[in-house]
Amino acid sequence: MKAFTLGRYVPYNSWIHRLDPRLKILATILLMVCVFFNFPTWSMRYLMGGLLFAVISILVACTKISFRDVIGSLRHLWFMVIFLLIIYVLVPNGNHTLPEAWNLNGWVVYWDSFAEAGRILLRLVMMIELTLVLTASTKPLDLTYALEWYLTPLKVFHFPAAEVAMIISIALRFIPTLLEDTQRVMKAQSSRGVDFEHGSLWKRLMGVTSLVIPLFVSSFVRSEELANAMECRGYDPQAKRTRYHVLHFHWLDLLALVLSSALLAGYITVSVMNLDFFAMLGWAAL
Amino acid sequence: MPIIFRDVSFSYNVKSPLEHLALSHLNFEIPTGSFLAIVGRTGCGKSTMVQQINALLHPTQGEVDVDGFINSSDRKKRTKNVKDLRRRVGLVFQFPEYQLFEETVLKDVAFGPKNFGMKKEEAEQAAKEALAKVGLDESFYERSPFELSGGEKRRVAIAGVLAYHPDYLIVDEPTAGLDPKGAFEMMDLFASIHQAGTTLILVTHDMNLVLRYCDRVLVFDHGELVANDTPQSFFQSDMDRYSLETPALYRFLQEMKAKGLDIDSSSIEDLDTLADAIVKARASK
Amino acid sequence: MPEAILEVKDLHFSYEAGKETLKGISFSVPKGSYACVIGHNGSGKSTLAKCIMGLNSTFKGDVLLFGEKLSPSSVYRLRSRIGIVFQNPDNQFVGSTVADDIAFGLENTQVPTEQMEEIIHSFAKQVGMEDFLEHEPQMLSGGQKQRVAISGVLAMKPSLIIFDEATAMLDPKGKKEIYALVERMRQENPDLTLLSITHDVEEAANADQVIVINDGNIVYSGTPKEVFSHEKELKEISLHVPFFFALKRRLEDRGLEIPEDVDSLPLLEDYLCR
Repeated sequence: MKAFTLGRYVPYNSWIHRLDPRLKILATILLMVCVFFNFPTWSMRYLMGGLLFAVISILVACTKISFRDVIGSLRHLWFMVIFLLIIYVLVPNGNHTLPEAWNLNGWVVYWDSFAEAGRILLRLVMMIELTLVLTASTKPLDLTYALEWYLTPLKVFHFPAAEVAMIISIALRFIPTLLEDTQRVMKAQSSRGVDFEHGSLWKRLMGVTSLVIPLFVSSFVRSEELANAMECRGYDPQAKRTRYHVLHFHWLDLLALVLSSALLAGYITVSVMNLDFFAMLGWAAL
Repeated sequence: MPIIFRDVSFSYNVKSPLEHLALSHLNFEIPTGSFLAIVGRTGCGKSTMVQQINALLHPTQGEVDVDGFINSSDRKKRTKNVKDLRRRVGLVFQFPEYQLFEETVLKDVAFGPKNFGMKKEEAEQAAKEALAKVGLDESFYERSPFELSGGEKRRVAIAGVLAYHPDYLIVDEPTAGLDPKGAFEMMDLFASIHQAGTTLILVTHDMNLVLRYCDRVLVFDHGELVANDTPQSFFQSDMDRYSLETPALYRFLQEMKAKGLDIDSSSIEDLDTLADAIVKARASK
Repeated sequence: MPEAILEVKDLHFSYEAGKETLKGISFSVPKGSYACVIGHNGSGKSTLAKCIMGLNSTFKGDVLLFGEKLSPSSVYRLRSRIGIVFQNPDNQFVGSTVADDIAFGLENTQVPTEQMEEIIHSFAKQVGMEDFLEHEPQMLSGGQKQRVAISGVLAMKPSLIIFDEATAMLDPKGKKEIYALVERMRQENPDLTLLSITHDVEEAANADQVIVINDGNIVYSGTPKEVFSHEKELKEISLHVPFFFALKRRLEDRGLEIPEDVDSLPLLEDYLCR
């Protein structure tokens, strides 16, 4: 389970969980756009980034995801940190505004490199946390419904939005069943002497074949039976269907939409107008 | 040599919020040459227990000893060569037809023996013998396993295990989904394999099979071994508390006893002897 | 004679040319009755079931449902009045939760959203699954999944329910649950017609009508009493006889006279103890 921290639904009942999934997708996109604005000075970049990070952290806290899960979702980032540092330190920074970090026989590295690496890292963290908030607080099926809603306008171009949503929801429904099948076939083949972990490449390839083919076969059987069952229960992809789950837009959703739009508007304004709060206040900015 | 369980416990998802004790302090022996039934309601731990025998799962406490092969909770005590153990303990899972994958029946049956180190010719010879045992003749050798009927597929899968001559054969619900005819043919096959000297372990819900074929029955409930008895004596005890289906004949006897007709059950083996006993009991009344 | 809900007339079907799987099957099921089709695997009973459900459309002969001929143009309309419960509990569970699954059929027939909650709840209650509405299929037993399937079928208010080996993959407890539920459905809804394709003869002992199929032909048809009096002949086609009928015949063979009205196992027990 540890490997699936990111993208897993965590069943709590926070106000974020209760938000309309359509709104959550839109708000996530709005906040993601905020992440990518540029500002004139390092002070402004870190101030605006820090503000956004604070907002996102509050959202994470609101979803009641455990601190361990949050750390878990960031656990593979150390690799990125090292990679970023190497790139930025090795590649000379053209228009630097910060002082020299060191000068080793003409190899000049400015603090800009570290600041840039730090900013990229911050952006990555924010994006991961935003995705975490969305996926941890929204059932996959609700995401599917929301997606269907966004795709509905494409029906004009004969895009089968409802069918796509049905396919996705059935795929989600059958993931645990297929995992069980996988477990069972693996055990059966292990009993027949297959070693999935050791042995020559050829032997292991044979082992994988002995797993994949039975899985294909049983999936085909399942899908055929499922198709029959659906047909017999009156499913017709072309026909109009009513919905049991109807997404409702509440005042809280409206508030969340207004707030996230306002945040985006603020970031647009500051960025486009090249505002520098530090200069306005007369402070020295970097 | 027998299979010995020494204080075996097993938990799923150890050290997680989902930890769940599936087997608890099992101590028993399965003597060589027996035809043993493992029964209990769904989720009682039967399947988990048999997977300890061929080391698909390792105990979280205690050890399983199969002819000196040790599957222990302690990594250091475990016998290293798991393959050798798995060759001796054949395990046929429920709906085994879903493990077939080769292009031809013969290749699929020879797959196990090859994995256990037999040469190609040897493996094919063993496969042919195993197919003969399950009642499939030469005409099946070159056919694709996927075009066979459900019952034939299952026979191929079972032949795939018999082909490496296991000393112990564990079969999990081998009659599930078969009609009564197919079920009895399947069980007669296992009876003949047992006759030839293989120790048989049958995991099942069908008490009629237990009554007809097995010489001993282990009953599991909530991960514990609650009875280790002969079928005849077990079926006369209170089976309802383990949610097991009493065979129709024994249920009838119990009802009759409750309603006041005492029938001498010692000579009853089937419907004819039951009818005899009823007539006798009524005459003496 | 009540109206026939299902009528099959001289039905022939073959998967490959020259090899008939069904060789002229005729029978009818009257309204409100419970019919069982029994036969071993490969006898043609599953093929027959598929023909009646309209999943095998290339048959010769006639299938009449509610008096109307089954054809490619009528199949959708007729099927809306039939409910089918299949063998594999997993492969007919469409929704991601119990409630979603019961809703699936309602959505297809365009039941208004506002009414769904109440319908789902009442039909889940009928099968005793009202406390599991938010459960996902992998948290349910086979028997529970089949009960959900039945509840989804009942919610469509069908006139005919077909059980296509619906208990074959269940453990004894699951089987019992389903048989008890079927018994209750019959009592609560006397107009409901049931057709069960099965190889469990003990189930067939409770039916109004038993149809025995072997090698694509009907070999026996009638009440359980009539059909199961042919113990020897049934044995030849590998079908055994329910416990009650088998024991009754043996007792009669031994000179014991058992009155006509002793027609179930509890009554037989009472009679013998008298």
